[in-house]
Formats: sequence, structure tokens, C-alpha cells
Amino acid sequence: MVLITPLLVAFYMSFTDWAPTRGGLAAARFVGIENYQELLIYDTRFVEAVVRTLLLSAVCLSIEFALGLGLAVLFLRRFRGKAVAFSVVLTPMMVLPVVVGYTFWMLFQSNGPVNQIIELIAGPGSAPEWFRSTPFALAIVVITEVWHWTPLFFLILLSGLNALPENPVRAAVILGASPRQIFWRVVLPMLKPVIVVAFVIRSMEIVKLFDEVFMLTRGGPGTSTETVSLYIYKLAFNDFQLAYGAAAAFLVLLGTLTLVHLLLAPVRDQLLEERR
Amino acid sequence: MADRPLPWSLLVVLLGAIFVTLFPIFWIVMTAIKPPTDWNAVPAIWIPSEPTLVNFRTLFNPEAIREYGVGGVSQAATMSVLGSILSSTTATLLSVTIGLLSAIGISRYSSGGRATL
Repeated sequence: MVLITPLLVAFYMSFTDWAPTRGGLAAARFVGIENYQELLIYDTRFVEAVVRTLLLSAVCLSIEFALGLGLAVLFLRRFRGKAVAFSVVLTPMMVLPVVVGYTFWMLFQSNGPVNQIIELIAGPGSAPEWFRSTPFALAIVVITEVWHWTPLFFLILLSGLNALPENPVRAAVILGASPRQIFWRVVLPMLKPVIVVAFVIRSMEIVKLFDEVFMLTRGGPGTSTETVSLYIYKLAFNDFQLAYGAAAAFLVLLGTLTLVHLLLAPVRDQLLEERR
Repeated sequence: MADRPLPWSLLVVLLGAIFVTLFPIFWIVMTAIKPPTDWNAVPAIWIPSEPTLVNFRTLFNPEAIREYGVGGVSQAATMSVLGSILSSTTATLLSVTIGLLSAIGISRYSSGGRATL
């Protein structure tokens, strides 16, 4: 009951034209699927936000995965100062998203430290105005997101790598496989469930991408970096279109569910059947 | 097994990763000890010449910042911190209790739930 009631109320709300200024929810007019129709067919801003969020997620997750895997493989070696390096690499995860957003906002100001470094290397006048152009604003969002969450990939993949059984690797060595072959043909396939779980956790998080974008660009310039969460937030709390926002939120929930389901499909059996 | 030094190429990669990781954190710390006049200086100031703890005092006493001739902040952090502690403790307790009990249920009796996971 506790779980379902708010969901049901919101679900009903998404079929009405309710707004807080119109009195109780009971007074609202039932409009059927109008909200959903409007969203999917006429609201280009919503559709663009969805596509943008998906693209951003794909780009961010690929970069985070590549960097995280690289670092994790690096950390399989023994070297001096490993413990310190390990805690340093994990720090970004512990910073509040809002603080990360604000910090990167400061770093990428037109006369901020990043631009100072760029001008030092490439000469004066070469630094871009990060927040004024769409590609650069999107790049900042990606950079921030990658900085913040690569450590999670790193941590999950490292523990996955450490938990792998050693015998297949030894067998491959004896059979004369090169290190590259061992990595691609033996280690990665065994790591697959861990990789998928990492992607599932991160993709559920990243489609909710809000804090960083809110602090960095507020969706700007224009609406060119607006994510779905940011758009729904603006619908609900700037325009007070709560019913419309609820409809949008349900579409996103449905999308996320489908996405996670599809991602989990290849390893579902492996994850559930392991212990009988 | 003795710790061998990394080959230099990997060392460069690792040091690069550590630099990129620490730079924003360095910036957070430096900004935290900057007096108000340094906050938005052009060009940006990396290391404040007169480090101060006034920002930390302002957190719990909104008027502290006024000694620099800047308006106080509207609200002390005390209530927000207490609120965060209260809500995170409650949420953790509740979710651990409910999660633990339902996890026991699902794992002990294979009826229901398992497939929908």
C-alpha cells in the first residue's frame, strides 16, 4: 500500500489536466491520453530531451567503461603507492553531485583555471567560451559526468577482475596465448556479468542526470543541454504543469524499465540460476 | 613478491589520472579558504594569498562573513545538516529493515518475486 498509493495517484494525475491552482485533484478534468499524445507527438522539446539523454548516457557510459576498465587492469599489478593511488582514484564518487556541478562550473568559466591552462599551452585567445556554445556545453556535461562516475566503474570492474578464477588464465598461458588474447578471449567473457551489472547500475543513475546539468548549464544555451529530468523539473516547478509532468515521468519510468530489462537479458539466467 | 616500479608509460597514465582526479578537489579546497574578494577574481586565483576560515565560520554563523563587507547568508547550515542526518538515518534504517525482511522471504522460499527480480 505504502509503495503503490503515491504511484497510483500520480498515474491517475497523468490522465487529468490538474494543476495546483485548480483546487483538489478530484476537481480536475479527466483528459484521457491527451497528455501522452501531446508529449510524444507534439512536444519536440520532450522528445529532444529524451534523445539527448540517451545519447549523453551512451557517450558517458562508454568513456567511463573504457577508462574504468583500463584503470582496473592497471591496478591488477603491484606497484609502490598503490593504496594511496587507490583512495585517490575513488574520491570523486564521494563528492556531492551538486558540489561537483558547481566546481566544474567554476573550473570552466571563461577566465577559470581550465582556460588558463589551455591559454598557457596553446597561446592567448585560444580558449573557448565553454557555456556559450552547444557542443562545448555538452562536452562539459560529459567531462563532469565522466570525472564523477568513472571510479564506480573502476571499483566494480576491479572487484570483478579480482574475483575471477585463475585456472582458465593459467590454462591459456600454458596453451601459449598472448596476453592480448588472454584479455580479450578469456578475461572479458568471464567478466561479462559484472560488466552488465555495472552498466545497469550506471544507466539507471544516468538517465536521472539532473544535479550536474542543473548547476552547470541549467539546460542552456537555450535548451541544448536539457536532460529529461531537468525538463520534467522545469515542467513541474517552473510551469506548474504537474499532470503533464507526471505523464512525462511515467513515460521515462517505462523507458528505463525497458532499457534495464534489455540490458539484463543476456545475463539474467546466469545471475539468477547460480545458486539453487 | 616485492613491489616492482611501474613501466614509465603506465606511470604517466596513472599520474595523469591522479592529476585529473585531484584537480577539481584541489579547487574546492582552495575556494573554501578564499576570502570573498578572491571568489570571482579575474583571472582566477589558484592559491589565495590570505587564506581564511571565515567561510567555515559563516556556515554556522551567517553573520561572520560581514567582516569582509559582504552581506550575510540567509540561513545557517545547522538545520540542514541535522535534517540530512535525520532523513538519511531514517531512510537507511527503514530500507535496511524492509529490504532485509523481503530478501529473507525471497531467498528462503522460492515462491514468487524471484522471476520479477
